[in-house]
Amino acid sequence: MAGFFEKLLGRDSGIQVFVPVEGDVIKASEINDPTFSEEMIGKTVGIKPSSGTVYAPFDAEVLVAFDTKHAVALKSDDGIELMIHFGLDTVKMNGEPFEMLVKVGDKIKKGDVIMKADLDKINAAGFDTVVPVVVTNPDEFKSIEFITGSGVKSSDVLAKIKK
Amino acid sequence: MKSFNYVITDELGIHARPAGLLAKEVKNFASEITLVKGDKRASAKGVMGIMTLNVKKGDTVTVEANGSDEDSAISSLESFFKDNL
Repeated sequence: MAGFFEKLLGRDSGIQVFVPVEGDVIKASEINDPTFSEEMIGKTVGIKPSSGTVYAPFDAEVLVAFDTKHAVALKSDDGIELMIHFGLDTVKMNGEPFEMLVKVGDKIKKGDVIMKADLDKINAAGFDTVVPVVVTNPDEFKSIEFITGSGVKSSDVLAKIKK
Repeated sequence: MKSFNYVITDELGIHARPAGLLAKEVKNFASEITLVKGDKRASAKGVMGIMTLNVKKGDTVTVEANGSDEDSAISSLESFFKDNL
């Protein structure tokens, strides 16, 4: 009976991380930057964005919001530390194509819009728009499973993480 | 405990890539390695801890090593900062 309720409540499949940026989900190895393809920062997946809106993938606190506005790092209520890095090498764009809507210490809810990027500006400047999403504390979890797919929406699950 | 101070000269400061490289370098040592900026301290073993310090060009950071291999850790990390940051 307990097992039935676990399944009913979705606990069976682990903690769900929802899609932060809509688009096509690709494997880390397909990201054209060794920092991410070699998973130097943590367990990594990529999203080729179809839109520049970044949604909170879970209820969380903001740990890092870079002044250059190209990346944000969150800690979920379950202890998952996640970095969402908009584009490759976009730190060099000095914030220009980005709008950061949160600051360090903010408490956010799943689905909140936390950041916006102008894809046209990033493309025009010659940077890759792919968004690496990285679990930076993977050692604290038993398993991390990313779900790849095309045309994913913010209501879809990007990762299932078990403690 | 050994330590050194370093003034960041890299235009972009410690963003994701150097934070990843630094955490990787730090894992080569048994010593506990701490990055200090002003009144904020973070273990340099974790990428997120390093990034929370929000280290920018012109900032002075202190790197502390405490443990059996602190001498070699400090000399390697001094080279690392000069080469990368």
